[in-house]
Amino acid sequence: MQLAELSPGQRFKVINVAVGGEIGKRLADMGLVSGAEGEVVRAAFFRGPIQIRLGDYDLIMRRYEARLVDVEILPEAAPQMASKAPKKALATMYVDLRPRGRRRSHGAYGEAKGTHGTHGKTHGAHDKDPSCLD
Amino acid sequence: MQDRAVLTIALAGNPNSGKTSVFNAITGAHHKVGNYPGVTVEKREGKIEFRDREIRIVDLPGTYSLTAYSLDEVVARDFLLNEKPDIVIDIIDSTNLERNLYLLLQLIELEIPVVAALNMADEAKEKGIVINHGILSKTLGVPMVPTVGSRGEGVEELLEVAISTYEAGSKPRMPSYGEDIEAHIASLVALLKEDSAFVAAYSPRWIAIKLIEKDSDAKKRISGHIREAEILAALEDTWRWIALHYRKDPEILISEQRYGYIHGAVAEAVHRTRQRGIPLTEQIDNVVMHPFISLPLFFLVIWAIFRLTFAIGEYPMAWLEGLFGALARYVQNSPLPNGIRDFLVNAVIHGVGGVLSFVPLIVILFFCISFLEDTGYIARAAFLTDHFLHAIGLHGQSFMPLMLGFGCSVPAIMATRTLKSPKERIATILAIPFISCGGKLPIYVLLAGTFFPNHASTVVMLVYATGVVLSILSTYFLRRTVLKGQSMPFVMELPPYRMPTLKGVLWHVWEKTWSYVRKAGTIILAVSVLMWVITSYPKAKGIENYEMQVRKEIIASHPELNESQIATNIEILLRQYQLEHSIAGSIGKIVEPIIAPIGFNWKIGVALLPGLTAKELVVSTLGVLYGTAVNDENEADSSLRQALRDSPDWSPRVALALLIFILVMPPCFSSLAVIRAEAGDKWMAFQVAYSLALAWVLSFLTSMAGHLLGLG
Repeated sequence: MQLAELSPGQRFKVINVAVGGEIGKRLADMGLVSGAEGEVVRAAFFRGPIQIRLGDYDLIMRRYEARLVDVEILPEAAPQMASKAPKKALATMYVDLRPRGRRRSHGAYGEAKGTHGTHGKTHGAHDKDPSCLD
Repeated sequence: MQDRAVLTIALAGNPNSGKTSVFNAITGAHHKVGNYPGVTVEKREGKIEFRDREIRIVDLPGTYSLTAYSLDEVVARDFLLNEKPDIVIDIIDSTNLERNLYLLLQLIELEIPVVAALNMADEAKEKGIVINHGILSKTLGVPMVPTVGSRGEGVEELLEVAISTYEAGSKPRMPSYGEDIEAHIASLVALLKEDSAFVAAYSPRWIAIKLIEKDSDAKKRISGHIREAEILAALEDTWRWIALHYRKDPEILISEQRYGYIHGAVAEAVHRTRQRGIPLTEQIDNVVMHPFISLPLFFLVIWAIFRLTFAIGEYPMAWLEGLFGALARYVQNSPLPNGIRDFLVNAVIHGVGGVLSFVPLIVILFFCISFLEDTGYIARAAFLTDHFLHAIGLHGQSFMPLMLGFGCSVPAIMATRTLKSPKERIATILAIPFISCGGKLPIYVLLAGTFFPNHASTVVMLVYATGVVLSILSTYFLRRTVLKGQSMPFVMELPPYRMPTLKGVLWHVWEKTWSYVRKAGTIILAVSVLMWVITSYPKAKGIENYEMQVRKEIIASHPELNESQIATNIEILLRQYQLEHSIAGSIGKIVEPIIAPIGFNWKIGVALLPGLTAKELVVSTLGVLYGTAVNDENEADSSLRQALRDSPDWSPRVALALLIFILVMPPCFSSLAVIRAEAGDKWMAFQVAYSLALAWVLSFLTSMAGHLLGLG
């Protein structure tokens, strides 16, 4: 699933940035790395850019760039969105009904099942305390 | 190395991290603004005395990363690599730790002592983000000081920690990319270290990591390394290994590993007393970005800026005009020799007045723009308008400069500074002159009113509309030819709304105004002087005989006139005579064969010349060239209209062609000077050649169409 296909209100987890080079590097530098979780906040009209929230900050990007980010839709869970919950119920059901096989996963990296701590982002294999690394 | 005479501190940080406010808090008023060599990126630099040391503070452009892709990032890293500051202070937005620490990791890798300012500490506290900066600092091996830049809190401690870090010579801990990748980095580093000259210039580890990231600049820097071939082979090997094991592009993998490392550090040192969310910003955005409200609100904002700038700007402009008028009268009546007096009044005072007349516009406009930029609204405006502008090859941030072009091209071109992508910025700059500025309106009104008295407003509207269409078509064309190339990725931060500080906004206004006066003002002044010279010299021969001759003629044909009316009329005719015999007159006659196919004679050629200093002057030059005997000044306008209508040189067809020519021709010298300052000589020259050629072709076509339509 591409980030560009999501509608406002849907939460996602980044699986992979599909390209390298300038665009891919920019997306990754801005925090769209595998395991990062976020939410589509709004879309500009006539298929203009989209606004996403990645934890503490918001990004805007064109749909062209958003098509390069592979994501997985997350079930609605964030408590601070409680006021909007009734609206999102449908989206949640839709996600839960999807066949598991169609949820693309990437074996190598960034494939952590649970959420880590209280934070929105989850990082996989190297998600350890850096102070232990040296 | 220790105790060098002057300590150089570089300030790095993300955009919107409050870097400028920290810089201002450190340097106070003692700083200057210049450019980084060869590029239009602004460079702020200040010198201070602190604890008996002289410290030079250099503000690097705000960046999110240090790739070779964006100009700002290249400028920042070139400074760090080539000028090797003694210390880097990284300004970190505490409310947005993870993404801000991403830049810190890259600064650490440069192996220059780094100190981090956990800025906006107050905002983080408000949001319930509790940072144990002791733990974070220990984990990352970088000293950290909480600061509130806008109030100057913690800034002194920051400087103290920076100096003691420098004196202790302590190096930060290198972030780890995980065992496997580290092994590859190590083998690259080993090869890089074999060239001792190279090790003296660069951090091998930094170069190794950048090479893995496919960084074009790092690759250039290893050319000539004694083991270059082996390094490149090892690099290929690393890329193959990464592709095999991670199935990812190496540059993406490195970013992911950095975020992974940061995430671990933040998990240790930060906890939240409240859930995430940006409540106030979200509440404002629910209105400001609402599907039905956002666009009307945006147009209202643009309209308000336009009105504020040009309506309020009129007053100080009128004061300046009055001041310079009084000064001119004073000099006129002084006992100085004629030639010097004329030079002072018509070249110097007129020129300086011309330069300063734009200052009120620039001050007000940049007050508005800086205010909106600091609140975070400019990024939202880009979000709203990007789709349409991107289709023609521009950027969401091109919209406001284009709208301002209806007022005056000078501040409009300067407003393109908010655009970061060089190609889209140049494209916007080149599109602005097609938008008819306020200075062109008097010519439109004169020509349309004279030759299309029943449809004057329709004709003027059509000329304006033609300009907008041309600006769109021209941009579309240029972005597919000379400005070809992928637009920069549109991935921008949408910062939370913040209340701008008056000090910050005023600083910004001062910097822009000063840079205009310094860079464009001098050229505008020089060209004004040049224009005066070519319209006043050489002094026409036989002017005394001519004067006596016309005096006789006037007295014979208008016996009712009194002495002062006769003098006025003679002066008009003498000015006409002088202009005809000046360099400008000769130029007009030289270019006549070129503009003749359009239907223009040499007088029109001459009138267009001062149009290059300011479009308003076309009307007054036509007034001189077609000036006739008048009884008082109020009659001047209607008599000029009558004279143009009666002249065999003119017809509605010629007028229409001239309207198009003036619409398309190169903008005034003030705008060209600003284009030069903002985009460089090359693009200014291009603008002149391109718009001259286009103006000729389009007015020729208009003229032909006029023939077919029977407009004379």
